Amino acid sequence: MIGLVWATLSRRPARTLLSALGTAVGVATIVALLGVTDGLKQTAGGLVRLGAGDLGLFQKDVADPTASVLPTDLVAHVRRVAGVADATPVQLLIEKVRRDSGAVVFGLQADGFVARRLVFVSGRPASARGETAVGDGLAGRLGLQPGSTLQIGRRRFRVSGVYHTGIFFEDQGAVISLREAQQIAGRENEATTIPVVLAPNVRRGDVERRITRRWPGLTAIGTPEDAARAGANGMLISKAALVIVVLALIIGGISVANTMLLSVVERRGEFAVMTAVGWSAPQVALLVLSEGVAISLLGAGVGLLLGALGSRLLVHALHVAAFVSPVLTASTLLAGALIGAAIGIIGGLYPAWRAAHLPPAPGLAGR
Amino acid sequence: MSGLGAHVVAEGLRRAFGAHVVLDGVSFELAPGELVALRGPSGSGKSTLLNIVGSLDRPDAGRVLVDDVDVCALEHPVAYRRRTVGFVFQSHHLLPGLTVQANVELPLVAARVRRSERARRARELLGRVGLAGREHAAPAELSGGERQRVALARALVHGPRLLLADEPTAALDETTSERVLGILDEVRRDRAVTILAVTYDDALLHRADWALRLEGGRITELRGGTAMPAGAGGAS
Repeated sequence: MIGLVWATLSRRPARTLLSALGTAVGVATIVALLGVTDGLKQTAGGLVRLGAGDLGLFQKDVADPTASVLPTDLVAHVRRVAGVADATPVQLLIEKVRRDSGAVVFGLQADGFVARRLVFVSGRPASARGETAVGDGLAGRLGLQPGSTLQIGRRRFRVSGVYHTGIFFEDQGAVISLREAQQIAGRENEATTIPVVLAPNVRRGDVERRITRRWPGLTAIGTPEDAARAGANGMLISKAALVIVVLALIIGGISVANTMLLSVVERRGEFAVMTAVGWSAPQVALLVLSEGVAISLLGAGVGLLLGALGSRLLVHALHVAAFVSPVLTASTLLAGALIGAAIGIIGGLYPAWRAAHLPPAPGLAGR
Repeated sequence: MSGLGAHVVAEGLRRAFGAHVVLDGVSFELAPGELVALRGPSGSGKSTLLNIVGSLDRPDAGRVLVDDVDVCALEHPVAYRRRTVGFVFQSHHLLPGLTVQANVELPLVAARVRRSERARRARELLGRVGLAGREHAAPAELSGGERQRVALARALVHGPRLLLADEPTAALDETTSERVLGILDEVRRDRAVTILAVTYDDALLHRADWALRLEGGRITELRGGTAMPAGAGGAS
């Protein structure tokens, strides 16, 4: 059967490749989008790990976690929840660094655990008004060092030091005092998020339940998946990926079906011969279906490569390459291959049925 | 395979395509191991008759009994075609994308015979039809006579008891034609295969046990092979 499939596909290589390309485009789109989505999840995961916290508290049902607004006096109450070891307010400033719109600025309390966990590779923490500490990633990109200046919003800050935390968002961003961040954001006594450190031997789920039961307007994010689900934008991306998967299945399926139908019509005589020499209808159908799947798997292979390249092009085209790095996991690649196979099955079903039900006598007579 | 050819009885076969009646009450009987020549002008229903006997088409009326089984009434005639019938088509009908050996193996693929056994039987048949060493050639690389011999090997590889051949020696030179006829003689002698062959070839006609002529959808002549004069039948 494999030999027959190969013989058929290699007989008309241009048609096979063009048809495979239809599948490839669909698979590439899906892989690129899933890669970027996973990258976004990873990036979003960085939000909940600010200061290597165990949980991040955000306002519930906001479009995006960065749009969350929480009162800072909530922090004291959260600290008293059983199982919570520490909590601190953080004000996020998005697109406020003039020279690098992808950099996030963190407004931190100087004695909060997030600020305490910054590891300085040069200089010192920002301790005075008008000072900022910058992550080594941002410092590298903008050529900053202690003594340099950085414009955040409309104000110029003097760089006091360069830190490294190992957390993508933080290392690509900058830190200023909470009060100055609140002023720039125009939100006195408010914060974007409250990172939480749990006490030892406490189950995260138990604390999450306690917090969300006590404050129903809060959402507690503990994993990158939670982070992606928490924001409407994350949901939108996931739904867009689903829509594109469905579109790819339909468009790719039509492309394969079109090619296979043409092939079936051209090969009526061959199918008639096969029927005459004892091939059953299911055997003929399986052959045609296998051809469709083989074309699609070929397309899926090309699509996976194009998708890997496309995901990198996509983050650059969206100007988010600074803080979103596409992640191509084994499951993403497997999903691409499975979708390719599904396209072949969907596209091959009707042609397979047609081939299996062709009356042999007209095919042998060349009619 | 069985050493005895199929016993075929056609009774009152009628087949029409629209208003055009192709077969109109055709009846005959083939004894096991007989070679019967089928003649008649173009459009007289010869190929249709082969298709009906081979269960590739169904008659509007009548029946074909093969070893007392009505093959026209079979819901799934695949097993009948797979085990009992071998077809040799007028224009070879080799699959162009497959090698010679793969073409010969097609009936065995359908019967799910193991790959090694398929290859062994295909090579053996190709050797018998004088095509040893051409197993991996493409049909396009063969002469007309070689293609016809491949088609014959494909028709015989699964050991059929009934061979239906549509002009098996048409367009062949005398030497190649004689070779094909020799193979038919061999399968009759060794396996007692029943053969119904459409032919305008006098050499085949002379080998036939008897012949029937179709015209206007009816059998107009039914003669013993030895009594059939050369050139009788009137090919159109």
